[in-house]
Amino acid sequence: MSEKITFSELVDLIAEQSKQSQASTNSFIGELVNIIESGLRKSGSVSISGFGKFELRWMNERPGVNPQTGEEITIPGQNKVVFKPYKALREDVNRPYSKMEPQVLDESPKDSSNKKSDDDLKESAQKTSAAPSAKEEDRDDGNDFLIERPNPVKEKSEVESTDDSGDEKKTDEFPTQDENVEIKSKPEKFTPIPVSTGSEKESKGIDDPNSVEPKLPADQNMPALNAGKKSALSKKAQESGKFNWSYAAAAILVALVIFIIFLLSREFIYDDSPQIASEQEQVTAPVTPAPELNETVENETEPPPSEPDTVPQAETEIHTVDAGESLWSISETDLGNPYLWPMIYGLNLDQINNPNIIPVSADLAVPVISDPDNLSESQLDQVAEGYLDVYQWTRTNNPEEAKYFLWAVGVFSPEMLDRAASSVDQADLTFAKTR
Amino acid sequence: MTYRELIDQLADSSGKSKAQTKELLEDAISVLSNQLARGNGVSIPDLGTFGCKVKEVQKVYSPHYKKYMLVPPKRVVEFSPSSVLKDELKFVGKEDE
Repeated sequence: MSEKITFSELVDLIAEQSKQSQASTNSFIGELVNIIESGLRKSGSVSISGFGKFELRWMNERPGVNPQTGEEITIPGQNKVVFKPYKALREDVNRPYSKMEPQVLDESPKDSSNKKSDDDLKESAQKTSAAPSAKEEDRDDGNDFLIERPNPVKEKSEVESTDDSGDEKKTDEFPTQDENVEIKSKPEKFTPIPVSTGSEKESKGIDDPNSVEPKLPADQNMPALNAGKKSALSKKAQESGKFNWSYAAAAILVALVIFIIFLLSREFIYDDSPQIASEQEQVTAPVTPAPELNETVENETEPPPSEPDTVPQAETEIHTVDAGESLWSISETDLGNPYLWPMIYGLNLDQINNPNIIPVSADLAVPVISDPDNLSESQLDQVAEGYLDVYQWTRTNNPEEAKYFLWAVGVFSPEMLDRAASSVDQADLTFAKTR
Repeated sequence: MTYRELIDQLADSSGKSKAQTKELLEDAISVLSNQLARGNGVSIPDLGTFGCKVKEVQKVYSPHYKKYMLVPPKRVVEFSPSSVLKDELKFVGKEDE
């Protein structure tokens, strides 16, 4: 969007301001350039107060590829001239955007927060843009540069009002990269998919674009300054307004993808949702992964004791198991401490028998733990109970190692150990108490 | 090279007083900054091109919040040296090593 003025226009303006002839201004700038060059040659940097600093930066030789022949070459080391604007210049140039703050996005990518914060940004931009442009107008001395400079915020709102038809195309073009980002981050976070809210999300994703629309009439009350320029601007508006649509489209697509994943996972667990399942089959039937058992490597390290504290009672979320996950890894990512994995085991005895093997795409109940280092009494009991369940299983399948799990029960809740005393092997109990 | 040295040399070569030179330089710089602040770029022969570029909203991961953040659009100054300047200074300070 940056316009350019010619060097002679610049010289005219400087001559006007300094009340010198154009010729002398021209030669003055010529000398300035020479001195900057010789300064760079001698000392490697030239500083101009209130403006910026020219510097020489040595770039080491590096490997490269000749773009024409594809041949590998070594780019020799050389100096690069860089210009670092000082703060005053940076602030002057950034003034139209200076009031905008970075926004923290909510972690879960399926949330429509993308869209929301984008809207917020826009709103704050609308609030602030009027002020700086008015200021610039004052400084303007009758120059018409300001009027020709398209107001970036204006453009955004205009795209929304004029460009409804282009919506569909852009959805195809842009979201792909954003979507990739979202999807990449998903496996790391194992965002649980709440059963009850899945359908809300979907409808939200669709409603959002509509909720933007009603704002538009207000946008048209923008300063009258630009009113006549609309048609001239609309071309540029389309270019710089695109990223807006990419965010919007990405939000919708992500919501859709999550909804589909949600449907998929439901199909495996519940057969009593015929409506959803039939819809589902049309859309994603070929993608259906074959359910298989997933061998997981359980770490046998003894759990460390945790300090008790008061934390509100844990609720549970649903975690859908991906291939390659273990209770240990789920616990590490969702609970924040891998040693708490028996909690998940204890809560899902109906689905898991062998804690070392969990079925892929099972929906496990996972407790919500805000602070894994300070568990509440009830959470500690839950962990101890989980370890007790693991002990019972290990006792029948691998008696040698069972005692370590019993010991862990005592670490998390000594009372639980006492209560269970009658139902456990006495040798194991002695080990658990004396260790 | 500091600002003072720049003015000294400029005064020497233009034959004007230092105060005069300083005033002239400030005028020139303020006009140039003003144009950049309006989003207008300008090429200065043998030195290079100053321009203005809008960096659009970016989504970046903030290690501090451990979350993604939207960084607002930002307008920044761009400078690309002219080929004359670039070539002249390519090996300065390295050729004798």
